Amino acid sequence: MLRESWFVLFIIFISWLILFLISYFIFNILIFLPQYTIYFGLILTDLFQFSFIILILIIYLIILFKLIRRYLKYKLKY
Amino acid sequence: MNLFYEFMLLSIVTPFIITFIITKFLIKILPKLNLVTIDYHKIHKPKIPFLGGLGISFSIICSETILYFIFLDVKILIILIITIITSIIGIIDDFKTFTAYSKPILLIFAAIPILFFTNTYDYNLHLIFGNIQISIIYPILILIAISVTANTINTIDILNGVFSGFTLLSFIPILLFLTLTSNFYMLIIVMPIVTSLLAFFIFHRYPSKIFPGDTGTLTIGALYGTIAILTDLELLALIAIFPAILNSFLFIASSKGLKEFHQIKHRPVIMLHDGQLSASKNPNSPITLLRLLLLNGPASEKKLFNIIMLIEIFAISLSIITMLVI
Repeated sequence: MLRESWFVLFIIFISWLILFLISYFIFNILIFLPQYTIYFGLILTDLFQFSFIILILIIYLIILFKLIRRYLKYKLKY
Repeated sequence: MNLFYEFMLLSIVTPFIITFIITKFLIKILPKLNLVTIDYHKIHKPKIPFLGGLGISFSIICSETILYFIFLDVKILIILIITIITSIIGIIDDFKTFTAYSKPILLIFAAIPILFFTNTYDYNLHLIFGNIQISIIYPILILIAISVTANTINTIDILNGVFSGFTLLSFIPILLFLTLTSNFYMLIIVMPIVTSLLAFFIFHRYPSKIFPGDTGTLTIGALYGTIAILTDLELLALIAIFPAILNSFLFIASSKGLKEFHQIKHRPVIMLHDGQLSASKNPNSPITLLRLLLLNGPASEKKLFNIIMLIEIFAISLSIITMLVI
């Protein structure tokens, strides 16, 4: 069963690692940013943190989709 | 403590028995009403009744109503309202299929009851190394999250037993967290959903005697999202349904937008003469989880069910690791 599922398991594991990295990045690097953004009020910090997560996710999903499509082309030979 | 055991027994046994009896009744009555659909992944293409979700919805409504009159808690009321709304949407969708865009929009309305009871959730998004307070975006996220989870669980209903088996497993991290944190009250509220799914799985497993239909998949999906929000376990719940999210994402991205499955001209998976399933070599076929699993060669439906369960066990293991880190 591992022969069929290793690729999907790998994608899930990588996605989980990315989630860890985003979280680490937010709480260890962006932690200093609110003191600058506080001048613009709560909305900016809210939107900033959230849009940052969304941005990374979108970039990751685009790369992931392109890689999967390429792998599919290679395996099915079309 | 004795009272707790009584309530726990009530929330485990009642929904299980109700779902079991109703589903058994539906299996007999639905074919007579011609409410059947073709099981495309079998050689002889048998006709299987498809409104099995009615049993799940009815048993959850009954059990949660009893619990509501015992505890008089808004969290139970939210679960009740969402179950009723999504069940109605699901029943209508089963008879008169909604367009791919109208279904998610309608499901957003199902999440509105949560917004009325602001004391039932906090505005923090619990990430791995801390919390982000997103007080302005969080209510909007709730609306989207319920619709997304409902549709995601809806798309994982791909083979016999996968929907019920997959969602049963994805509840494990939530149940484990509630047990470890001694949140027995929430456990009593969540158990009716899990046990009715367990009773349904008996009939839905390979070879299926009944299908849940959109009534079942949308209701359970919306309830999964609701429970994740009410227990503040959004991240754990998200990780636990990673395979379903991947399937949903690949399908939407490869078919270039939201599309109903019957709108797809080229099927992602084809059936061979010996009954085994094989990945389509057509470049225009959408990419799905099933197609990825069949890249190394054809496989039987039962084997594919086992592989998907293995993947889900891996996903819930990651969810449990995350829970331990948090």
